[in-house]
Amino acid sequence: MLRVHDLTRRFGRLTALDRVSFEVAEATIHGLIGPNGSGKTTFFNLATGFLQPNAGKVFWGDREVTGLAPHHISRLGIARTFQNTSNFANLTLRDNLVVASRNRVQTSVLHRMLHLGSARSEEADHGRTADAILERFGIGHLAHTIAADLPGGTQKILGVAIALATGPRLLMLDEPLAGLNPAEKVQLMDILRSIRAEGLTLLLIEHDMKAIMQACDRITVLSYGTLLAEGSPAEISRDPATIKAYLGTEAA
Amino acid sequence: MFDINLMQILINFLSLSAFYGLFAVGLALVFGVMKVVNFAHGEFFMVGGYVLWMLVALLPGVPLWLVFAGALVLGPLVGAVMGILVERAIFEPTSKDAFGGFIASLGLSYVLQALVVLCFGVVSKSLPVMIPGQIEIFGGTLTWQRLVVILCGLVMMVALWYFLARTSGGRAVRAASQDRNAALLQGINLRRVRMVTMAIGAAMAALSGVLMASVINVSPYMGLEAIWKAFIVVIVGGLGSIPGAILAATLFGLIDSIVTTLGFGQYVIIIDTVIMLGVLTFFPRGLLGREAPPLDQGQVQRDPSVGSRISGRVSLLLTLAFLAALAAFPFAASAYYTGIGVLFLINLILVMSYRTVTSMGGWSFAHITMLAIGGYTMALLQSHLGLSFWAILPLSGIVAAGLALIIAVPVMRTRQFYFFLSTFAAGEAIRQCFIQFRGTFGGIEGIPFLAPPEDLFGLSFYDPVNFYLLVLAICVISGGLLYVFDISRTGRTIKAMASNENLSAAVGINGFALKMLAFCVGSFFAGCAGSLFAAYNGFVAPTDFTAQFMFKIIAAVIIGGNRTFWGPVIGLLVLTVIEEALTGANQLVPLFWGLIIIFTVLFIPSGLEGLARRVLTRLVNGKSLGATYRRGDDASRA
Repeated sequence: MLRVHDLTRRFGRLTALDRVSFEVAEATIHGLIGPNGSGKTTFFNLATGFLQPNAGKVFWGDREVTGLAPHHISRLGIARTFQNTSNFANLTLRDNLVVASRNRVQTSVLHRMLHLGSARSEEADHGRTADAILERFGIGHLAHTIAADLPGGTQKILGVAIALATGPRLLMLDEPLAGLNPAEKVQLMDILRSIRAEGLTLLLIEHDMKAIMQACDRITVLSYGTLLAEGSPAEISRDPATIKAYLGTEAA
Repeated sequence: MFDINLMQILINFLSLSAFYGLFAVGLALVFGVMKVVNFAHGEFFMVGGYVLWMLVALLPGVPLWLVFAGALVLGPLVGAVMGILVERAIFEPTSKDAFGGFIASLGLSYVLQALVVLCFGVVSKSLPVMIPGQIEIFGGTLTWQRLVVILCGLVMMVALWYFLARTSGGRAVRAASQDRNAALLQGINLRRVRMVTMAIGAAMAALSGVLMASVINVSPYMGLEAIWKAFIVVIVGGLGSIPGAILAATLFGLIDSIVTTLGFGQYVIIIDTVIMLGVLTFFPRGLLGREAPPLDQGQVQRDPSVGSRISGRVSLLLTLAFLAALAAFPFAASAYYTGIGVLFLINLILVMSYRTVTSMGGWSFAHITMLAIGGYTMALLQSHLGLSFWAILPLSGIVAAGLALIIAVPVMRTRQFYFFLSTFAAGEAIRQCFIQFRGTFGGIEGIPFLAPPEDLFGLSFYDPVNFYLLVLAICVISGGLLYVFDISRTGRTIKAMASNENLSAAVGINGFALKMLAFCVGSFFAGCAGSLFAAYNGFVAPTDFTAQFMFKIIAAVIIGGNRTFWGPVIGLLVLTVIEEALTGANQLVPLFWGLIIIFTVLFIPSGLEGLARRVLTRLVNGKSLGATYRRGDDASRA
């Protein structure tokens, strides 16, 4: 579904990502792991148009999307979160999700600018969808709270809800579990599994190995910008190169 | 045929580059460390000029070269002391809010100009040539004065390079400009580094002021005229990059010397701006600006005023009362105050539309230019084509919006300070077009003999009261449309986009298009205001569309606050009242405006509107406010 081919990105003399190729299969939960600085977030930025690769290509289905603007890629059905501040801080939770419903807007910009009835009813419609998504994430009772007033864990969950509100086919989540308490982690992973059950695809950057091993169908390991290993969780947990990268040479 | 004297071009090139370099490198250095553009940099330049002038005046019998040498030492010292004072008074308190610091420095720039006007008068002082004489080199003329400029430029560059590259203090400055936090962790005293940086930057500006004083005459506004060049140089070089500033100074030195030698000196500003816009199109961060960390985004500030609001009914009542007062005003006021009222209403359209521009996160400096474009559209269409005012009114808005679109293409790719500075430069260049292309725009005298609007429903607009009511009607319609835009889904999306550009792109929002839209919508109404302004004055002239007018619009929105429409309205009221109270002492006006701006930035960042809203909310519906806060508290505990 999402396929990258020989993706390379350099920052000055540092090669953050070096000829990485892999594919995310439809309706799977795909984990992207690796030590800090291994190029995971750079990969996200390249795949979603926030950075341009020095070489290599990104394909979305049959279509090449290398070099498209971020908003364009979002409209093709790829949603992503950011490690921090993945919300509009001064809006209510509901408005956060309504703003994120841009991809489902059908009225013309003139209608929306002039606040005409059709635009208002469309927005009310998006508001109802927003409420449903918030309910699903267990934060429906906070719909009218300002995002910045939420505790960190709830803000992370809100970030995922915002990404889902764009109506994507692929959700790319950058460390969704970081900063969540154990109960929230279980809850969020359950939601992510139910999202996959609906046919959506998920690509997760995550450091929580337990959650990754339990939830993922497939895992890709990056280290120093190169692709180290790829396989099922069972294969990855036995992979010597991965163990070496994570634990250092002595443990291997 | 042009008589091209290559040697002369080379000499001019060297001396211009040295001057641009000296002046702009200080600005780049300060930006590198403090991440704020010091708008008052030009005023340090001016202070340098006045130091020289005072020394000449105070020391009559002393040989001029000695006075000059003394000023070359004293000027930078005075500049450095001022720089340190400014750092302590303005930039240090606003170090968490670079935009606030920039706006406060804008206010400071006007305060310093006004103070100099008060002390030394508004008339510019001409100085004798400090070091007379010249030498001929291969057919080019090099005056000693220019040689000193070139030498001082070189010496300062080498000294700065030595300081930055070879001393521990310089390493601290470089470290702080690369990564503030890492520098702090390494035990670098950031406060001292900032003070040293400001002192050096201000001293270099003052030094260039001393050097140029006898060439360009000393006046309170010499800094404002010169700062324009420094802005262009640092934008093209890349903000905060010293090599970039030197490269761009050399580039513009070459271009300007060629253009001047060929006899097109009056078009320098226009040519340089076109080059700047061209560079920005391909290098949105300047030639040597560090590649943008693409996702660099500060922590989003929680707007403390979100959640506290006056009920819709109170707001509606206040609006109606305000409109009733405006409508009754010309019947109670004298003809003079009716005229003031007309200008107030035109300014009201400007500040309301400016608020729309700022809602997308970019504080344009070209809003008055849009007013001017509307005014000239009116003047040209009326005097050449004889079109009716009623046809021109919307056309002038469309022309302004169209020009905004053209400027926006290169400028909108830039962020924050690049945006302020490049719109500043673009606005000045357009004003220069009005001055230089005399055939079309009438030069500095402008276009006179414009007629007021044709009669409508039997009302003649030669009658000032009718004209006032017409402007009020257009003001209400504009305000209403801008309000609808503001509360519309598009308007709210624009504000959300401004608060988190990365996330908005990730959810499919085309930020570039939305910014263009806000810029064009704001410019449309400014253009319409321009045709009213021209029709009211009966003429248009470039002298009406000054930087000080722009300053007034920005000041109104800063002082009032830009969260609701009340902010700019309150801000404009305050500024207008001050202006009228000081009739007869006009030179004090910018002083008070500047002081209020600095005070607002330092002590009431949400503006008078935010302050008034808090007070009113407590008076009118204290209970519901409590409820709002409690709900927020519950949420954060949940």
